[in-house]
Amino acid sequence: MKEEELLSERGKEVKLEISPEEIRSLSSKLLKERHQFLGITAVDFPRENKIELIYHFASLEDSTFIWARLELNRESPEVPTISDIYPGADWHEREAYDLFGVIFTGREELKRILLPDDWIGHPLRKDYSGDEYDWQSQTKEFYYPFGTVKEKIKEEDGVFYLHVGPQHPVTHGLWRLQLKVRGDTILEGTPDIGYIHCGIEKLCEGLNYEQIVPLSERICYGSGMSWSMLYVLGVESLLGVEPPERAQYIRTIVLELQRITSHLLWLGAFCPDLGTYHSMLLYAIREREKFLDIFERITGGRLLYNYPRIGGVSRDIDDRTIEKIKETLKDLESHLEEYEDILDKNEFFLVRTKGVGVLRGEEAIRWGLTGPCLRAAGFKYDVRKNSPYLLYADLDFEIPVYKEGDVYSRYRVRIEEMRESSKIINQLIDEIPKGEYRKKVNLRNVEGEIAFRTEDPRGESMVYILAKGGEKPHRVKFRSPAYMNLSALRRMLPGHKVADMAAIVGSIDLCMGEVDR
Amino acid sequence: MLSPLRRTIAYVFRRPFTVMIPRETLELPDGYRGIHEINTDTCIGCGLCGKICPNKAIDYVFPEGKNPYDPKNFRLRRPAIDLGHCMFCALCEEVCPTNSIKLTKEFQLYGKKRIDLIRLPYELESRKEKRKEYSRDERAKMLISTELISRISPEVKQIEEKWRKVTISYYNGEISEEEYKSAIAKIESEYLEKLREVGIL
Amino acid sequence: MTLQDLLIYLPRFVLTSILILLIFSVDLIMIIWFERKLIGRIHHRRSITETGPFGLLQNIADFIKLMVKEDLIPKKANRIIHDLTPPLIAFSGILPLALIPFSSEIYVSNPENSLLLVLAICSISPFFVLLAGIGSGSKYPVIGGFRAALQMVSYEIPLVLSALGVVMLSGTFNLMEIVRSQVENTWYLFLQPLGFFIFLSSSIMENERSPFDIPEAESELVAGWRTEFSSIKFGLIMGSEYMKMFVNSALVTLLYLGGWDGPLLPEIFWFLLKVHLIIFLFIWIRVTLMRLRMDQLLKLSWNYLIPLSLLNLLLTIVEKVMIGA
Repeated sequence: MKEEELLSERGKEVKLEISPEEIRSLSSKLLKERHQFLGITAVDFPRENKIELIYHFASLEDSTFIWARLELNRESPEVPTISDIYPGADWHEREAYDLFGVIFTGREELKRILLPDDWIGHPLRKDYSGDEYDWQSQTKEFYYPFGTVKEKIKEEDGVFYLHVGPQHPVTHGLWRLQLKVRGDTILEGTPDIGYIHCGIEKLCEGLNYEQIVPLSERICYGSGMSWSMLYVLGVESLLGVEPPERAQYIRTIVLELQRITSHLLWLGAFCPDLGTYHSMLLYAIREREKFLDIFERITGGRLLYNYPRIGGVSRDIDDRTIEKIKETLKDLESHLEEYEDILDKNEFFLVRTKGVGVLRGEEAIRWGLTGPCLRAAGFKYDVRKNSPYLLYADLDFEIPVYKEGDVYSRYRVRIEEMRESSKIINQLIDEIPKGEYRKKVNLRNVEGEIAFRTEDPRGESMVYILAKGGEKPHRVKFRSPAYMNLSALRRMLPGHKVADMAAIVGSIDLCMGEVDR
Repeated sequence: MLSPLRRTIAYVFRRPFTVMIPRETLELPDGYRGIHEINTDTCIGCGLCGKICPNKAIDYVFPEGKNPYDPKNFRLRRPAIDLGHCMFCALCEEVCPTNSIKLTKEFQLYGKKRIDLIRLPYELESRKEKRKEYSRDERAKMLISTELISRISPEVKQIEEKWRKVTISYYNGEISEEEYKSAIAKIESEYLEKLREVGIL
Repeated sequence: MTLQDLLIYLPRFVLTSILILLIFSVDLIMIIWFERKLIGRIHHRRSITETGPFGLLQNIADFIKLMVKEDLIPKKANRIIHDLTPPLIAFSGILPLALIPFSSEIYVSNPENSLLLVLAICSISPFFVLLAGIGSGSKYPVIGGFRAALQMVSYEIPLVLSALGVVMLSGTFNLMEIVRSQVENTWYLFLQPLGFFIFLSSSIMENERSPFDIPEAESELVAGWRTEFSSIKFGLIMGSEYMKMFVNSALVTLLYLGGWDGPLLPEIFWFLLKVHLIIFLFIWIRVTLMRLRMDQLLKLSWNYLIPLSLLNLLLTIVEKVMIGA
């Protein structure tokens, strides 16, 4: 078989063309060889009358990155499901159905995920007009926006349903968790998302390459920089542009700063979930504030930076800022010790987090965990090491790995990662080379196709760009790590108490902007 | 259990880190991305800022008495900015060939009506002494030639269309000045009424 | 009781009641202010500053706000229960004040078994809480209500058992007598450190305060059994939480810290000082520690606190025998 030859080439980007039937055998083979399923990217080609599905897989051991591309008829796009092999693919299949109308056979009911159940049409198809769905008529009656509320739920003896969200302190955003509970024990937990879906992928198709930069960082309010950087790096590798070295240094520094900020925000949001009276929230936010001040100095914005540019960065970094970064990092070190003092030496914290929400081993791969959640489950997998981008190849840093796969080890991984990020910045900060920080790039006529991966604070993020000439991309797809981590809740929740739900949901570091896109 | 208790109580004896805004102020760094200022003299009306704006928050107004549909007058147009739609990405600042549009440190933005957030270039003038004040009605009249208002409420699109037709026919010499003035006055009063009705004004 | 006795007793009763209520209501506002301020400072922020000097009037402003807010009652709620439970909870919170002596002079009544009565009244309120939860007609309050009932099962026994140690040492159920025997000998804190610890942690459980705020667990149950209460009903429930806290701290003070025992200054000062020290401890613990899970709380209580309190009783007997000898 052709796949086998290609698979023997380790450590490379491999592009496979397969027929729809082969996807099941391919994915079960890849699962055996410990490959992470990254996502399904669907692309619509109205002129050729086909829909392309691209399945992305990444090896957990080396930098092998596999594309499995299959073509479907546009009128009746049908493909066998892989959601029994990779349960993490379940939501991706639902998304492909929702936005492109691809039918996955052999699986349980295929429901919409981002759009309301009664939506008409598939918006990411190129010929979608948006007129079919009549908002006016919908809003006049009492309108159940999303999901299964409409159906009358039968409650059995001793079993009842608890709806957590959309407005609930633990949701950290706008989504709904439907818990099936017997007594205090969770039998089933089904997340329902799509409340803040804003069609960023569709919007990207109408903007030119420069305009997408500020849009792409609106995907995540916790770490905007990493998303705009992801997009910019994707476009650059599509064009084959090599940005100036100074820009690369600055980019690596701001990315790591962003990682620290994001983890601090997580820490602050997580501890109130466990029931401290917001003291850790304030402590973590206080530290984050100092980092935001640095971002404000560098980029001019505190939350949304619009900093990276195709071919460099928008502004230079000055000496005073460098001094400030050094000071703040030194500060952070002592405060991290304080956090550990408050949390690790707190028996109540340990009791609430240890052994809770365990997801590890093969299950963690199957459900598509990435980032700190995967590293807490015992896998030494980090895109920065596995397939380095920017300057990460030459940097000296460790990947923190814990074996337990529970809430506590996720917390530990994030704390250690802050230390490692601080180490990375300290390595770079004194050696920023002099020179240009931005290069002019011609974006008139871009052609090609790229899938670029980076390590987001929440996990592995990927951007897929298909350019077919002109000033605007044909398709942009963002693979969100929180999307899959959230879907893994269905595996993590059952068997736990309702009170643990708060700890588990908090531990996966949600960002709903990123999940709903 | 004792060490967290010790850590938390220590904060009682430290100075709070919060800042009492507005009594105390924080200093904003240079390069902060706040509300725009425009130098209307150096601006050449090239239209690049309107083109790059991802949110289409920039459209152009013309000085009073100039024909907006005459290609000769294109250099006279100046960017009006809908700050309610603006995302302060500063792409307009980057793209400007004459550095006429700049983002300042001013960030406080408020208004009781939607029209308060749409600013004319003459209100955003970078040289403070040349800055002009406009009432809401005047501002709405100036913005009739742009798409900034009709994109907030598509209901006014027709009236803008009428205004366009009258203006073009006047500059083509099809109607006299008196006719034009009375027609324009009528359209404008209808326009303002409509805007009041939809809550923009 | 003759008519003459009654004529002497009645004015005294009325006057002390008014005095105690006055002290209490002013103190209640101050406690809430103190908690907000202290939590703010522990959070490394300023907390309330704007209303009045140091934000002292903020609570009064909040109270007025709660008064004028709309009283929302869910469709499925049982109206009578929903209306009735908040005053009942507040009532059960304030009733023990009639039995708690503030000093050797200031007290409303002094029955023979006042300690027993106070403990009995305190254990009524979880029933009202359960009732409020069920009567709200929505899911979170029901869960909260049942959690409150479960929690009562876990704290009630160690609370009473540890108090029993004090009773055995002093030989009386009367709070005045307990304090008097402490004034004469030594504070029971030193004789019964284990009992003190158990009583204190059970008190926190009874107060439903973090780390044992399981019935109202904000991040899990929104506000637990009080989710559906708004306006002045919420105000009453909020107030009753602080009343309970005051009562519990007063009990700790009377049983273990020698009540109003102290040199030089008036007795009432010493009493209130000790009560507020305990309240400070409650708040401090609240901001630092995490909430336990229900099953963990039950485990803590039945596996550790109850055996420990039994051990404490045993130690007390030994102590008593040795002192007696």
